[in-house]
Amino acid sequence: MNTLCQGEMPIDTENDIVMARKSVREAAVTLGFGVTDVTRIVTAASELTRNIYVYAGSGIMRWHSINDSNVGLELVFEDKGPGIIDVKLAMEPGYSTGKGLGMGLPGTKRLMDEMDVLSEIGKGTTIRIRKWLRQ
Amino acid sequence: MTTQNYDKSRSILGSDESFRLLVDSVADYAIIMLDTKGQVASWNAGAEKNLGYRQNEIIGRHFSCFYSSESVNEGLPEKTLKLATENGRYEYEGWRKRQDGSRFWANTLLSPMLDSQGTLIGFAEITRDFSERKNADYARSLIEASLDPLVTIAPDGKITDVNAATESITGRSRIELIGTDFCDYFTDPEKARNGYQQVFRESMVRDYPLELRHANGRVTSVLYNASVYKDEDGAVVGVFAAARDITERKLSEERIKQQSREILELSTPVMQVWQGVVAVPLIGCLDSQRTQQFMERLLDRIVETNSPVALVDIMGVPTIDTQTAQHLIETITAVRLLGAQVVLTGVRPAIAQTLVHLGIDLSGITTRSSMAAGLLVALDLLKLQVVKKSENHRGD
Repeated sequence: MNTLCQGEMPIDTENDIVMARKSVREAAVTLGFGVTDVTRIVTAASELTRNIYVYAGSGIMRWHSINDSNVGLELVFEDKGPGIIDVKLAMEPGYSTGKGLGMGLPGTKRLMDEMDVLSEIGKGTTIRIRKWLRQ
Repeated sequence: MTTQNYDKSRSILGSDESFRLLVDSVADYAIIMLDTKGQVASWNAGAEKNLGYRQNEIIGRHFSCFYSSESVNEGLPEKTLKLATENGRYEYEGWRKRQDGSRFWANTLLSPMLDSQGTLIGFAEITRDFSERKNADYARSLIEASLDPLVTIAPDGKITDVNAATESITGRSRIELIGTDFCDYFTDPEKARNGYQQVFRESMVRDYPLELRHANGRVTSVLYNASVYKDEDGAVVGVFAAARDITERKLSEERIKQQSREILELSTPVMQVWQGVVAVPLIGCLDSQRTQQFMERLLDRIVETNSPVALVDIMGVPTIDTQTAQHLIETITAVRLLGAQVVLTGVRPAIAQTLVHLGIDLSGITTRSSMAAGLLVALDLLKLQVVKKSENHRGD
């Protein structure tokens, strides 16, 4: 119940995305998430770390367990990249400035329970996602 | 008035009494006169302060009572008198014992006293408590013994002290380094500056990565751990920084990364499982580079074996995010351009749900949960049927 886990990981190379997935998988399994939720969380982490790598070049992923009235996992993805011009538009399916499917951000939101996107043009982007553990 | 006073003081200054006052006013030094045999002949206030004995308790006693019994057994007190007589002076450091039995680290200068004919009449011994110096020396020796390069930095960024490890990693002597800018010895001086400024702001920093440049150009990757140090009033006077050489660690990290890359790039086999059917078991993660390899190999094999059906098994792919899905869709599209069909197999329930949440449309693609089910689809597409052998065939 009182499992505390936290960590952080810089994202600089494509290989770091693989390592990030591994770390997040371990954290989610430790907290007691089921197979499907673990896959959801890992996929979300994969989307957001890839966004850091593709759009910002580098950044950092942090994660920590939440042990309040609800137990859950929070992941924060921070970069000092170009920022998202229109966050609302970016959350729409099919929108992409790169050559992706345009499903990453809206898909991540559906995979997780909570998602906040803070972005400032030229300054960077911080995305916070949460998944609650259902007892 | 002034002349009178001056004269008066001069008459005192010239006397034996004044010399007595001088010797007595020196509280930090034990100034002791010994006779030729080493018995205490005179004793000053400094001697009382350092060694504990009062004058009336010690006059006439042999000075070996200031030494530990081991030293006395080794004949150390006599030896020092002999050496002083032979050499005209003898200076040494060692433990000395007080009246209460406690000991302190002392520096002693022993000089023979000769009369006008050159005959030995005794010894002058000047002893000083060097405990603090010894502690400082001890701390210094620890600092010097450290394999980690250590440095202290003043608030203006100038180096105030370094240890031997810093000298060897920078290829510059202590004298050269002290007083110069800390930042000058790094590949990224601005980052180094930000580092120590952060220490002054936040009192400490941990594992701050920097690259030190040796005088010969060699670069060493280090992690700095640093904290501020304060004077007696609690005011910050500088930064104490310890670097850790992480060249080895970086190398092994690089090696591990290299190996994991090699594992990722292990060739994906494309197997012909039936006449007209090839199968690819995908294992691990599908990044763009690997997808490219896998796509080329698959397309080649389809042409080579003239196979109308390809089974792509994703049982061994732990995560399918939008990019992996995109890679898969691109591969499937390419296969279709060759006139072949893809059956996606090994779709696990968790992956299926994730794909739905991500909004990835695989409706145009035939999928099956297992490779076996996929093979049946393939055979069906080839209008083939698996028939159980009849009893008659047995023994053929």
